[in-house]
Amino acid sequence: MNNKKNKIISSFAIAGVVAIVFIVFATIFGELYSPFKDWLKVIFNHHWIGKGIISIVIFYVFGFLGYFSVKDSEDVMITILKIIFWIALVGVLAITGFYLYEYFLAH
Amino acid sequence: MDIHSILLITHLIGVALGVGGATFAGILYLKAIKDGHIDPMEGEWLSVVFTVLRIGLVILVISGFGFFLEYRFTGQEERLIDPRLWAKMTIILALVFNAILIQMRKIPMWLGESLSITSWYGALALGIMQNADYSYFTFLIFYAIGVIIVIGILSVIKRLYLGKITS
Amino acid sequence: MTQSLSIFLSIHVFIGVTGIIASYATLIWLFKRNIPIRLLKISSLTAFIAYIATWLTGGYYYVLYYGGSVKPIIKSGPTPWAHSIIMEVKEHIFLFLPVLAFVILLVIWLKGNSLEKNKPLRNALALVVSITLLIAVLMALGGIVISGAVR
Repeated sequence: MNNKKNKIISSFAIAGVVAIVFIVFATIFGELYSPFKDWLKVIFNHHWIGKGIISIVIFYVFGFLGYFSVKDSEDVMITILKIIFWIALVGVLAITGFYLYEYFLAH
Repeated sequence: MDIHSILLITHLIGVALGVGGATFAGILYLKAIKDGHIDPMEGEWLSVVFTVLRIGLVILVISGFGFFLEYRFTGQEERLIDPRLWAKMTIILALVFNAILIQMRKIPMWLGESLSITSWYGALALGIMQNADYSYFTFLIFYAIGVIIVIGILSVIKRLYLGKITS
Repeated sequence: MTQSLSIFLSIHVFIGVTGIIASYATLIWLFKRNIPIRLLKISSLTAFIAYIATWLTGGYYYVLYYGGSVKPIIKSGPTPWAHSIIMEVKEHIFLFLPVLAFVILLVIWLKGNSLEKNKPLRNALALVVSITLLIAVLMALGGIVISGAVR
Protein backbone atom coordinates (compact mmCIF):
# COMPACT_ATOMS: atom_id res chain seq x y z
CA MET A 1 0.00 0.00 0.00
CA ASN A 2 2.86 2.34 0.88
CA ASN A 3 4.41 1.90 -2.57
CA LYS A 4 1.06 2.61 -4.13
CA LYS A 5 1.08 5.95 -2.29
CA ASN A 6 4.58 6.71 -3.61
CA LYS A 7 3.39 5.90 -7.13
CA ILE A 8 0.30 8.14 -6.87
CA ILE A 9 2.35 11.11 -5.61
CA SER A 10 5.15 10.55 -8.14
CA SER A 11 2.78 10.31 -11.11
CA PHE A 12 0.89 13.49 -10.14
CA ALA A 13 4.15 15.35 -9.45
CA ILE A 14 5.40 14.39 -12.93
CA ALA A 15 2.01 15.44 -14.34
CA GLY A 16 2.44 18.75 -12.49
CA VAL A 17 5.83 19.27 -14.15
CA VAL A 18 4.29 18.59 -17.58
CA ALA A 19 1.32 20.91 -16.87
CA ILE A 20 3.61 23.76 -15.73
CA VAL A 21 5.85 23.32 -18.77
CA PHE A 22 2.72 23.46 -20.95
CA ILE A 23 1.51 26.68 -19.26
CA VAL A 24 4.90 28.36 -19.79
CA PHE A 25 5.07 27.15 -23.39
CA ALA A 26 1.46 28.14 -24.22
CA THR A 27 1.95 31.58 -22.64
CA ILE A 28 5.14 32.46 -24.49
CA PHE A 29 4.30 30.68 -27.76
CA GLY A 30 0.82 32.24 -27.77
CA GLU A 31 2.33 35.74 -27.65
CA LEU A 32 4.95 35.01 -30.33
CA TYR A 33 2.68 33.06 -32.67
CA SER A 34 -0.77 34.69 -32.73
CA PRO A 35 -2.59 31.89 -34.66
CA PHE A 36 -2.11 29.68 -31.60
CA LYS A 37 -3.64 32.29 -29.28
CA ASP A 38 -6.45 32.86 -31.78
CA TRP A 39 -7.09 29.11 -31.94
CA LEU A 40 -7.43 29.03 -28.14
CA LYS A 41 -9.88 31.94 -28.35
CA VAL A 42 -11.98 30.21 -31.02
CA ILE A 43 -12.16 26.89 -29.19
CA PHE A 44 -12.47 28.13 -25.59
CA ASN A 45 -13.93 31.62 -26.01
CA HIS A 46 -10.86 33.16 -24.28
CA HIS A 47 -7.16 32.21 -24.59
CA TRP A 48 -6.73 32.17 -20.81
CA ILE A 49 -9.65 29.77 -20.31
CA GLY A 50 -8.08 27.53 -22.97
CA LYS A 51 -4.70 27.48 -21.25
CA GLY A 52 -6.34 26.74 -17.90
CA ILE A 53 -8.55 23.92 -19.17
CA ILE A 54 -5.79 22.25 -21.22
CA SER A 55 -3.34 22.45 -18.31
CA ILE A 56 -5.83 20.80 -15.94
CA VAL A 57 -6.66 18.09 -18.49
CA ILE A 58 -2.92 17.44 -19.00
CA PHE A 59 -2.40 17.32 -15.23
CA TYR A 60 -5.12 14.78 -14.48
CA VAL A 61 -4.60 12.62 -17.60
CA PHE A 62 -0.83 12.39 -17.01
CA GLY A 63 -1.45 11.91 -13.30
CA PHE A 64 -3.71 8.89 -13.82
CA LEU A 65 -1.74 7.40 -16.72
CA GLY A 66 1.63 7.97 -15.07
CA TYR A 67 0.58 5.69 -12.22
CA PHE A 68 1.03 2.67 -14.48
CA SER A 69 4.56 3.56 -15.57
CA VAL A 70 6.18 5.31 -12.62
CA LYS A 71 8.62 3.53 -10.28
CA ASP A 72 7.66 2.37 -6.76
CA SER A 73 10.25 4.36 -4.89
CA GLU A 74 10.24 6.97 -2.15
CA ASP A 75 13.59 8.35 -3.36
CA VAL A 76 12.14 8.84 -6.85
CA MET A 77 9.12 10.61 -5.34
CA ILE A 78 11.34 12.99 -3.32
CA THR A 79 13.43 13.75 -6.43
CA ILE A 80 10.31 14.53 -8.46
CA LEU A 81 9.02 16.85 -5.70
CA LYS A 82 12.32 18.75 -5.92
CA ILE A 83 12.00 18.86 -9.71
CA ILE A 84 8.48 20.33 -9.56
CA PHE A 85 9.80 23.05 -7.23
CA TRP A 86 12.59 23.98 -9.64
CA ILE A 87 10.30 23.82 -12.69
CA ALA A 88 7.76 26.10 -10.97
CA LEU A 89 10.55 28.56 -10.02
CA VAL A 90 12.00 28.56 -13.55
CA GLY A 91 8.44 28.91 -14.94
CA VAL A 92 7.80 32.00 -12.79
CA LEU A 93 11.10 33.54 -13.92
CA ALA A 94 10.53 32.62 -17.60
CA ILE A 95 7.02 34.15 -17.77
CA THR A 96 8.07 37.25 -15.82
CA GLY A 97 11.23 37.65 -17.91
CA PHE A 98 9.25 37.22 -21.12
CA TYR A 99 6.71 39.95 -20.31
CA LEU A 100 9.47 42.29 -19.10
CA TYR A 101 11.24 41.69 -22.40
CA GLU A 102 8.04 42.24 -24.37
CA TYR A 103 7.28 45.52 -22.60
CA PHE A 104 10.72 47.08 -22.39
CA LEU A 105 12.59 45.65 -25.37
CA ALA A 106 10.26 44.17 -28.00
CA HIS A 107 7.77 47.08 -28.25
CA MET B 1 -21.63 51.26 12.12
CA ASP B 2 -20.28 51.50 8.57
CA ILE B 3 -17.92 49.01 6.89
CA HIS B 4 -14.93 51.37 7.21
CA SER B 5 -15.32 51.55 11.00
CA ILE B 6 -15.68 47.75 11.25
CA LEU B 7 -12.51 47.29 9.17
CA LEU B 8 -10.63 49.88 11.22
CA ILE B 9 -11.58 48.28 14.55
CA THR B 10 -10.70 44.79 13.25
CA HIS B 11 -7.38 46.06 11.91
CA LEU B 12 -6.55 47.72 15.24
CA ILE B 13 -7.39 44.50 17.12
CA GLY B 14 -4.95 42.64 14.83
CA VAL B 15 -2.22 45.22 15.45
CA ALA B 16 -2.89 45.21 19.21
CA LEU B 17 -2.62 41.41 19.39
CA GLY B 18 0.55 41.49 17.27
CA VAL B 19 2.31 44.29 19.15
CA GLY B 20 1.27 42.86 22.52
CA GLY B 21 2.17 39.33 21.43
CA ALA B 22 5.61 40.33 20.13
CA THR B 23 6.35 42.28 23.33
CA PHE B 24 5.26 39.44 25.61
CA ALA B 25 7.05 36.84 23.49
CA GLY B 26 10.27 38.84 24.09
CA ILE B 27 9.63 39.16 27.84
CA LEU B 28 8.64 35.52 28.35
CA TYR B 29 11.57 34.28 26.24
CA LEU B 30 13.96 36.32 28.35
CA LYS B 31 12.47 34.98 31.59
CA ALA B 32 12.48 31.45 30.19
CA ILE B 33 16.18 31.41 29.25
CA LYS B 34 17.50 32.96 32.47
CA ASP B 35 18.09 29.49 33.98
CA GLY B 36 19.73 28.26 30.78
CA HIS B 37 16.87 26.16 29.44
CA ILE B 38 13.20 26.46 28.50
CA ASP B 39 11.13 24.07 30.67
CA PRO B 40 7.83 22.56 29.39
CA MET B 41 5.60 25.10 31.19
CA GLU B 42 7.59 28.03 29.77
CA GLY B 43 7.46 26.41 26.34
CA GLU B 44 3.69 26.11 26.72
CA TRP B 45 3.35 29.83 27.52
CA LEU B 46 5.58 30.82 24.61
CA SER B 47 3.52 28.63 22.31
CA VAL B 48 0.31 30.38 23.48
CA VAL B 49 1.85 33.82 22.86
CA PHE B 50 3.07 32.78 19.38
CA THR B 51 -0.47 31.57 18.59
CA VAL B 52 -1.88 34.96 19.66
CA LEU B 53 0.75 36.65 17.49
CA ARG B 54 -0.27 34.61 14.45
CA ILE B 55 -3.97 35.28 15.07
CA GLY B 56 -3.10 38.99 15.16
CA LEU B 57 -1.24 38.63 11.85
CA VAL B 58 -4.18 36.85 10.21
CA ILE B 59 -6.66 39.51 11.43
CA LEU B 60 -4.31 42.27 10.24
CA VAL B 61 -3.93 40.75 6.76
CA ILE B 62 -7.64 39.98 6.25
CA SER B 63 -8.76 43.44 7.39
CA GLY B 64 -5.97 44.95 5.27
CA PHE B 65 -7.44 43.32 2.18
CA GLY B 66 -10.83 44.60 3.33
CA PHE B 67 -9.41 48.14 3.05
CA PHE B 68 -8.07 47.22 -0.40
CA LEU B 69 -11.60 46.35 -1.58
CA GLU B 70 -13.04 49.45 0.07
CA TYR B 71 -10.59 51.67 -1.82
CA ARG B 72 -11.29 49.79 -5.07
CA PHE B 73 -15.07 50.11 -4.79
CA THR B 74 -15.16 53.72 -3.61
CA GLY B 75 -12.89 55.23 -6.26
CA GLN B 76 -9.89 55.69 -3.94
CA GLU B 77 -7.56 53.54 -6.03
CA GLU B 78 -4.71 56.07 -5.72
CA ARG B 79 -4.42 55.04 -2.04
CA LEU B 80 -3.30 51.59 -3.24
CA ILE B 81 -0.03 53.02 -4.55
CA ASP B 82 0.73 55.04 -1.41
CA PRO B 83 4.40 54.41 -0.39
CA ARG B 84 3.26 54.14 3.25
CA LEU B 85 0.95 51.23 2.36
CA TRP B 86 3.71 49.45 0.41
CA ALA B 87 6.22 50.02 3.22
CA LYS B 88 3.69 48.51 5.64
CA MET B 89 3.15 45.52 3.33
CA THR B 90 6.91 45.01 3.01
CA ILE B 91 7.23 45.01 6.80
CA ILE B 92 4.36 42.48 7.09
CA LEU B 93 6.12 40.29 4.50
CA ALA B 94 9.35 40.54 6.51
CA LEU B 95 7.32 39.48 9.55
CA VAL B 96 5.89 36.46 7.73
CA PHE B 97 9.28 35.43 6.32
CA ASN B 98 10.87 35.89 9.73
CA ALA B 99 8.23 33.69 11.39
CA ILE B 100 8.94 30.92 8.85
CA LEU B 101 12.70 31.18 9.45
CA ILE B 102 12.19 31.09 13.25
CA GLN B 103 10.02 27.97 12.90
CA MET B 104 12.66 26.35 10.64
CA ARG B 105 15.36 27.39 13.17
CA LYS B 106 17.28 29.05 10.33
CA ILE B 107 17.67 32.46 11.99
CA PRO B 108 19.44 33.30 15.28
CA MET B 109 16.93 34.15 18.02
CA TRP B 110 18.43 37.61 18.71
CA LEU B 111 17.80 38.63 15.09
CA GLY B 112 14.40 36.93 14.74
CA GLU B 113 13.16 38.51 17.96
CA SER B 114 14.39 41.99 16.96
CA LEU B 115 12.83 41.71 13.51
CA SER B 116 9.52 40.58 14.98
CA ILE B 117 9.33 43.39 17.56
CA THR B 118 10.49 46.11 15.12
CA SER B 119 8.11 44.91 12.41
CA TRP B 120 5.05 44.95 14.66
CA TYR B 121 5.88 48.35 16.15
CA GLY B 122 6.76 49.57 12.64
CA ALA B 123 3.38 48.45 11.29
CA LEU B 124 1.72 50.22 14.23
CA ALA B 125 3.72 53.42 13.59
CA LEU B 126 2.91 53.40 9.87
CA GLY B 127 -0.78 52.94 10.70
CA ILE B 128 -0.71 55.98 13.01
CA MET B 129 1.43 58.28 10.80
CA GLN B 130 -1.38 59.08 8.35
CA ASN B 131 0.35 62.25 7.12
CA ALA B 132 3.91 60.92 6.83
CA ASP B 133 5.00 61.92 3.35
CA TYR B 134 8.18 59.95 2.62
CA SER B 135 9.26 57.73 -0.22
CA TYR B 136 9.02 53.93 -0.01
CA PHE B 137 12.79 53.59 0.39
CA THR B 138 12.93 56.24 3.12
CA PHE B 139 10.38 54.24 5.11
CA LEU B 140 12.49 51.11 4.62
CA ILE B 141 15.64 52.93 5.76
CA PHE B 142 13.76 53.99 8.94
CA TYR B 143 12.76 50.35 9.37
CA ALA B 144 16.33 49.07 8.95
CA ILE B 145 17.57 51.67 11.46
CA GLY B 146 14.76 50.58 13.80
CA VAL B 147 15.88 46.93 13.56
CA ILE B 148 19.48 47.89 14.41
CA ILE B 149 18.35 50.01 17.39
CA VAL B 150 16.11 47.20 18.70
CA ILE B 151 18.97 44.67 18.35
CA GLY B 152 21.11 47.03 20.48
CA ILE B 153 18.39 47.64 23.11
CA LEU B 154 17.58 43.92 23.43
CA SER B 155 21.25 42.98 23.79
CA VAL B 156 21.66 45.56 26.58
CA ILE B 157 18.49 44.33 28.33
CA LYS B 158 19.69 40.73 28.03
CA ARG B 159 23.12 41.58 29.38
CA LEU B 160 21.66 43.49 32.35
CA TYR B 161 18.93 40.95 33.15
CA LEU B 162 20.76 37.71 32.49
CA GLY B 163 24.09 39.05 33.74
CA LYS B 164 22.56 40.02 37.11
CA ILE B 165 21.09 36.54 37.53
CA THR B 166 24.26 34.64 36.67
CA SER B 167 26.67 36.83 38.70
CA MET C 1 -19.19 47.55 -11.85
CA THR C 2 -22.37 45.60 -11.15
CA GLN C 3 -23.15 44.33 -7.67
CA SER C 4 -22.62 40.69 -8.69
CA LEU C 5 -19.17 41.51 -10.12
CA SER C 6 -18.26 43.38 -6.92
CA ILE C 7 -19.30 40.31 -4.93
CA PHE C 8 -17.25 38.02 -7.20
CA LEU C 9 -14.20 40.29 -6.86
CA SER C 10 -14.60 40.42 -3.06
CA ILE C 11 -14.93 36.62 -2.83
CA HIS C 12 -11.91 36.27 -5.14
CA VAL C 13 -9.81 38.48 -2.85
CA PHE C 14 -10.87 36.95 0.48
CA ILE C 15 -10.65 33.35 -0.72
CA GLY C 16 -7.25 34.10 -2.25
CA VAL C 17 -6.07 35.46 1.11
CA THR C 18 -7.49 32.33 2.77
CA GLY C 19 -5.36 30.24 0.37
CA ILE C 20 -2.26 32.25 1.30
CA ILE C 21 -2.96 31.83 5.03
CA ALA C 22 -3.53 28.08 4.54
CA SER C 23 -0.26 27.67 2.59
CA TYR C 24 1.59 29.71 5.23
CA ALA C 25 0.12 27.53 8.00
CA THR C 26 1.13 24.40 6.09
CA LEU C 27 4.74 25.59 5.87
CA ILE C 28 4.89 26.62 9.54
CA TRP C 29 3.34 23.35 10.77
CA LEU C 30 5.71 21.25 8.66
CA PHE C 31 8.56 22.50 10.86
CA LYS C 32 6.95 21.93 14.25
CA ARG C 33 8.73 19.41 16.49
CA ASN C 34 5.55 17.31 16.70
CA ILE C 35 4.06 17.74 13.21
CA PRO C 36 0.27 18.20 13.55
CA ILE C 37 -0.86 15.89 10.73
CA ARG C 38 -4.59 16.58 11.20
CA LEU C 39 -4.05 20.34 10.95
CA LEU C 40 -1.76 19.88 7.93
CA LYS C 41 -4.49 17.88 6.20
CA ILE C 42 -6.99 20.66 6.88
CA SER C 43 -4.63 23.46 5.78
CA SER C 44 -3.55 21.69 2.57
CA LEU C 45 -7.16 20.91 1.64
CA THR C 46 -8.20 24.49 2.45
CA ALA C 47 -5.41 25.86 0.25
CA PHE C 48 -6.37 23.62 -2.67
CA ILE C 49 -10.09 24.47 -2.46
CA ALA C 50 -9.28 28.17 -1.99
CA TYR C 51 -7.07 28.31 -5.10
CA ILE C 52 -9.74 26.57 -7.19
CA ALA C 53 -12.46 28.90 -5.87
CA THR C 54 -10.35 32.02 -6.36
CA TRP C 55 -9.58 30.81 -9.90
CA LEU C 56 -13.29 30.50 -10.74
CA THR C 57 -14.35 33.79 -9.15
CA GLY C 58 -11.32 35.72 -10.45
CA GLY C 59 -11.76 34.14 -13.88
CA TYR C 60 -15.40 35.21 -14.01
CA TYR C 61 -14.45 38.81 -13.18
CA TYR C 62 -11.44 38.76 -15.53
CA VAL C 63 -13.22 37.33 -18.58
CA LEU C 64 -16.51 39.21 -18.22
CA TYR C 65 -15.40 42.60 -16.92
CA TYR C 66 -11.65 43.22 -16.72
CA GLY C 67 -10.79 42.92 -20.43
CA GLY C 68 -13.55 45.24 -21.61
CA SER C 69 -13.75 47.79 -18.80
CA VAL C 70 -10.59 47.83 -16.66
CA LYS C 71 -7.80 46.98 -19.11
CA PRO C 72 -8.46 49.98 -21.43
CA ILE C 73 -8.35 52.37 -18.44
CA ILE C 74 -5.02 50.94 -17.25
CA LYS C 75 -3.51 50.87 -20.77
CA SER C 76 -4.37 54.53 -21.33
CA GLY C 77 -3.36 55.61 -17.80
CA PRO C 78 0.01 56.61 -16.33
CA THR C 79 1.01 52.99 -15.52
CA PRO C 80 0.20 50.79 -18.55
CA TRP C 81 2.82 48.28 -17.35
CA ALA C 82 0.41 47.32 -14.57
CA HIS C 83 -1.51 45.42 -17.25
CA SER C 84 1.23 44.65 -19.79
CA ILE C 85 3.56 43.13 -17.22
CA ILE C 86 1.84 42.55 -13.86
CA MET C 87 -1.56 41.34 -15.09
CA GLU C 88 -0.10 39.21 -17.88
CA VAL C 89 2.32 37.55 -15.46
CA LYS C 90 -0.38 37.18 -12.78
CA GLU C 91 -3.00 35.53 -14.98
CA HIS C 92 -0.54 32.94 -16.29
CA ILE C 93 1.54 32.13 -13.22
CA PHE C 94 -1.67 31.75 -11.24
CA LEU C 95 -2.38 28.59 -13.25
CA PHE C 96 0.52 26.86 -11.42
CA LEU C 97 -1.27 27.14 -8.06
CA PRO C 98 -4.05 24.50 -8.37
CA VAL C 99 -1.47 22.03 -9.70
CA LEU C 100 1.07 22.65 -6.93
CA ALA C 101 -1.62 22.72 -4.23
CA PHE C 102 -2.94 19.33 -5.40
CA VAL C 103 0.53 17.75 -5.26
CA ILE C 104 0.99 19.15 -1.71
CA LEU C 105 -2.43 17.79 -0.75
CA LEU C 106 -1.53 14.32 -2.04
CA VAL C 107 1.79 14.19 -0.16
CA ILE C 108 0.21 15.28 3.13
CA TRP C 109 -2.88 13.08 2.89
CA LEU C 110 -1.01 9.98 1.70
CA LYS C 111 2.38 10.29 3.42
CA GLY C 112 1.57 12.62 6.34
CA ASN C 113 2.50 10.05 8.98
CA SER C 114 6.04 9.63 7.66
CA LEU C 115 6.83 13.38 7.48
CA GLU C 116 8.16 13.54 11.04
CA LYS C 117 10.65 10.70 10.57
CA ASN C 118 11.48 11.24 6.91
CA LYS C 119 13.28 14.60 6.84
CA PRO C 120 14.23 14.50 3.12
CA LEU C 121 10.52 14.07 2.27
CA ARG C 122 9.52 16.90 4.63
CA ASN C 123 12.19 19.20 3.16
CA ALA C 124 11.21 18.40 -0.44
CA LEU C 125 7.56 19.08 0.42
CA ALA C 126 8.56 22.32 2.16
CA LEU C 127 10.21 23.47 -1.08
CA VAL C 128 6.96 22.88 -3.01
CA VAL C 129 4.90 24.66 -0.31
CA SER C 130 7.39 27.58 -0.34
CA ILE C 131 7.08 28.18 -4.08
CA THR C 132 3.28 27.87 -3.80
CA LEU C 133 3.22 30.44 -1.00
CA LEU C 134 5.58 32.75 -2.91
CA ILE C 135 3.41 32.61 -6.06
CA ALA C 136 0.22 33.18 -4.05
CA VAL C 137 1.74 36.22 -2.27
CA LEU C 138 2.93 37.62 -5.62
CA MET C 139 -0.61 37.19 -6.97
CA ALA C 140 -2.05 39.20 -4.07
CA LEU C 141 0.54 41.98 -4.40
CA GLY C 142 -0.02 42.03 -8.18
CA GLY C 143 -3.76 42.45 -7.60
CA ILE C 144 -3.13 45.51 -5.43
CA VAL C 145 -0.84 47.09 -8.05
CA ILE C 146 -3.36 46.42 -10.84
CA SER C 147 -6.23 47.90 -8.82
CA GLY C 148 -4.05 50.89 -7.93
CA ALA C 149 -3.50 51.47 -11.66
CA VAL C 150 -7.24 51.96 -12.28
CA ARG C 151 -7.12 55.75 -12.00
